[in-house]
Amino acid sequence: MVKYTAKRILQGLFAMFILTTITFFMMKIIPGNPFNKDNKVIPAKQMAALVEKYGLDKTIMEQYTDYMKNLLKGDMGISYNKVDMTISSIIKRTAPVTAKLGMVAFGVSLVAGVTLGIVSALSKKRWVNNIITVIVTIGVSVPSFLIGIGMMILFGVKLKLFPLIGLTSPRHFVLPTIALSLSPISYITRLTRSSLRDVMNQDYITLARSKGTKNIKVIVMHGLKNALLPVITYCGPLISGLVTGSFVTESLFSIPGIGAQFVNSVNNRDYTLIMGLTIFLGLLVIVFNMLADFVSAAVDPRIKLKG
Amino acid sequence: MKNLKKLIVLAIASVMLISLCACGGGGDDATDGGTLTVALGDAPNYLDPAIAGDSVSMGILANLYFPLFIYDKDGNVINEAVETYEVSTDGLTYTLHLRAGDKWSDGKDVTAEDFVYGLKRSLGYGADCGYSNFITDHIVGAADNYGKDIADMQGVGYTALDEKTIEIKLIAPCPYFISKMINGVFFPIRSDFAQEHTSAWANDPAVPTNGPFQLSAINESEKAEVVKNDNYIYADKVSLAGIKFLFMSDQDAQQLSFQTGEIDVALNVGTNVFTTYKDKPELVIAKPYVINYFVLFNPAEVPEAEVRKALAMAINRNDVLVALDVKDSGAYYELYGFVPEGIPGKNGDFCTEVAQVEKWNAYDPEAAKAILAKYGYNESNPLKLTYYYNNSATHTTVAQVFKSQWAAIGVDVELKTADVQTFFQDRSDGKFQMARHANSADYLDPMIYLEMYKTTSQDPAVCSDAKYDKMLDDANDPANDHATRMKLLHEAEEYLVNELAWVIPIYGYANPYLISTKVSGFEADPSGQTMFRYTKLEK
Repeated sequence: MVKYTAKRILQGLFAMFILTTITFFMMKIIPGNPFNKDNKVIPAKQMAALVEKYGLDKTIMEQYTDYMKNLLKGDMGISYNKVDMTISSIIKRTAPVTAKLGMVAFGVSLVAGVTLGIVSALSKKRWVNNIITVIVTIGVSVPSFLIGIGMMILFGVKLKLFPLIGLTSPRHFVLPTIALSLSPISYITRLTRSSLRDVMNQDYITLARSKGTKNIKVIVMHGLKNALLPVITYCGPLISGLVTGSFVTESLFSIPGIGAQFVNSVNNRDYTLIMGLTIFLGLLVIVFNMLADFVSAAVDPRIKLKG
Repeated sequence: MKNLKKLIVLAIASVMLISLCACGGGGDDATDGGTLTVALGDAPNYLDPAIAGDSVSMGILANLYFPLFIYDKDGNVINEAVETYEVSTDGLTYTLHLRAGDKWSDGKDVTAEDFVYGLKRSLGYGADCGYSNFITDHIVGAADNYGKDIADMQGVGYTALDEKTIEIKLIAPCPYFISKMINGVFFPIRSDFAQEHTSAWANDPAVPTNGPFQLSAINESEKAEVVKNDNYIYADKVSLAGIKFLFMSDQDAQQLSFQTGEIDVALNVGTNVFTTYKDKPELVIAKPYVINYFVLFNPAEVPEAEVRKALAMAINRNDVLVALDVKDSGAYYELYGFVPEGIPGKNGDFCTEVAQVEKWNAYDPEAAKAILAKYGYNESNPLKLTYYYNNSATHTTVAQVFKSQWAAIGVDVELKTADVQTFFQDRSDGKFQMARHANSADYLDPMIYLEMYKTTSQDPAVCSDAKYDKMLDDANDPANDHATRMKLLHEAEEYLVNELAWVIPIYGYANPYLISTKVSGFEADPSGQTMFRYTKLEK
C-alpha cells in the first residue's frame, strides 16, 4: 500500500511536470508578445521596458528554467494583464467560489444521479423509464452553455423566477447548479442503472431473497452497496468534469470563480495566469483521481492496490 | 361551497402577506437616490490611476477622482480641479491655478503637492505605467527620472508653487498638451496612502479619493461598490447614494441580466443590440466615439501613390457597412478622413468639417481602372497584392468585401490572416503589402492620429515622408493661433490621405450601451470614458 501510494504520487508529479512543460512551450511558440492590444499603439520604448520587466527578452530556455525554479518555491509569478496581481492571489480569490458551487453540484449530481438510476433500474413502469431516458439523453447530448442560456431566458427573463448574476443567495445557486450538474447526473444515472441491473441478477441477490430478506434490505444492503462501486470510481472524473464545466457556467452566470477567470485569461492572453491556472487545475484533477482510486480500493476488497 | 369560501379567504390573506413583505423590502432607499447597478466588461486592474490603461478600470476611476481636466461629450477640454491656467508666450510654461473647495473624501484639502505626487509616482512607476510617455515626451527633466524613486528625482519640471498652484515646464511647445493632461497619470494621489512602484494599496476602501464617489468594497473578480463622497466639491449635485460596478465579460449574460432588471446599465453588449433594441429608448449610442477602421499600405511594396489612390477608389464603404449588417444601426458611418469623428477642430468637429465634405478618393471604379491601365496593369497582367488581417468575424467580412471590390477593378488580391499577436508584430515590422488597422484615441487632438505617420513615431519607419513631417511641425508651431493650427493640420491630413495615399479610411463607429429608462444623466465622452457622477435613478 505504501509502495503503491508513493508510486502514484510520483506518477502525479511526473504528469504535472509534463503538463507544465508542454503548456509553457505551447504558449511560447505563439509569436509576438502579449502586450500588443487591438486599437492601441504602444510606443516602442514602453514595449521594450515591458519586455524587459517580464523577462521576455531572455531566451526561452532561460525563461523556462526561471519559471520552474520559481514554481518549486511556490511562486507562480504575476499576471501580464492585471498589473501587480500575483497568480496565487487570483487563485486564492477565485478557487473558493468554484469550490462552493462545485461541491453543491457534486452533491446534487450524486444524489440525483443515483436516485434516478435506482428508480430507472427497479421501476417496472415504462413511462418512468421513458422520462428518465429523455432527461439523460438531453443531459448527455445538449452542451451546457445551451442549457445555461436556455434556462436564463426561460427562468430568468421570461418567468423571472431566478436571478442570473453571481452566487449571493441560495436562489442564485439553482440555475448554475443545474447547468453544471445535468451532464454528470445523466452519466451517473446510466452508470447506476446498468450496474444495479447487473447486480440484481447475481446469485447472492437470489440467495438473499430466498432467505426471506426484506426487499428494501436486499436492494440497499446487497444490491446498491455493490452497484455503487463504478459510481465511486467515477467521482474523480466527475470533479474534473465539474472544473471544466465551470468555464462555461461561471462565465454565463457571472460567477467570480476560477472557471470564468480561466476564460478571461485566455481572452486577455495573460500567459502567466493561463500557466498558473492550468497547473492548479491539473493538480486538482490528478489529486482527485488518485483519491477516487483509494476510496474504491477501501470499499471494495476485490480491488488490490499493487505497486 | 364552504370550502371554496375558505380557499378564497386563504388566497386573499396570502396575497396580502406577500405584498406586505414586498413593501418592506423596497423601502430601504426612500431617503437617498438609490444605488445604480452598472455592468462593465472584464475585471479591472488595481484602481491605481497610474496603471489604468483599460476602459473598465477607468470606468470606475472616473467616478472616484476629480482630475485637472475632463472632456465634454464633444471632446472639448473642460476645467475640473483647475480653475484657470496660463500658458507663457513661448508655449513652454504652464501655470495651473487649482479650484478652492476641492477636498479628499477624508476631509483634507486637495493641494498642488497631491497632483505633483501623483505625477511623479506615475513617472517612477515603471514599465506598467502605460502612459508615462505623456509625461516623458513633454515635461522637462522627466525622461531622466523615469522609473526612479520620488526621493531621488531631480529637476522634474512639474512643481507646486504654493498650495493651489502648479507650474509645468515643457521641453518643447505642445499646443495639445492640455488634452493629454486628462490621463490618469496626472491624477492627484495621496502620498500617505499610495506606495511607489506598486498598486495593491489602491483597492483598500480606506484610500481617500476626491471625486463624486469613494470606494466602499471590492472583489477584484466580481464587483466594486462605491458610495457618495460627501466631501466632493460638487456633492450637492450628486444624487445617487452609490454605484455597484459588476465585472461581466460575457455579453449575452449582460443582455439577459439587463432584461431581468438585475442591472440598470450594460456597457459591454454585442452589436446584435442594434437590431434587438432598434428604436427602443434603452439603446444608447454614445456618439461621437473616436475610432477609425482603415487600410494601410506598405509604401515599399506598393510604391506608386497613384496606384494606392486607385486601390482606395475601388472601395465602396457603403457595401462594407451593409455586409457588416450595421448600415442602419445609427452607430456606424463611412469615414473619408484619417481622423475620425469626435475630435474638436477649427469650429466644430475636425472630421466632419473637412474630410467628410471633401471625400478624398471616394468610390470611383472607372477612374481607378484608368489609373491602373496607365501603369500597365490589365486583364492579362493584373496587379497582384496581399491584404493582411487578424482573424475575427468582422475583419474577415470586411476583407471579403475588399477582395471583391478590388477584383472589380482588375486587381488580384490574396487574403492572408494570422493570429492577432503575429499580425500586430508583422504589421509594425512592415511585413505586409496592405493590412487592416483601427485605432481609438488616448487623447482628443488630431495629432493622436496624424502623428502615427511621423517618421520618428514609427519603429521601424514603414512610412516616411519629409514633407509630411514638416507639415506637422509647422502646424504645431506655438506662434499659430487655434484656427491656423487646425487649417495646417487639415492640410497635413489631406496630404496623407489624398496625395501620399498611405491609408484608406473605411468607417468609424460608436459603442452601443443598454441603459434602463429609469436612469438619466449618463455621461460619455468621445474617448469612450463613461461617467455617472450626476446620474439620477428614478424609483
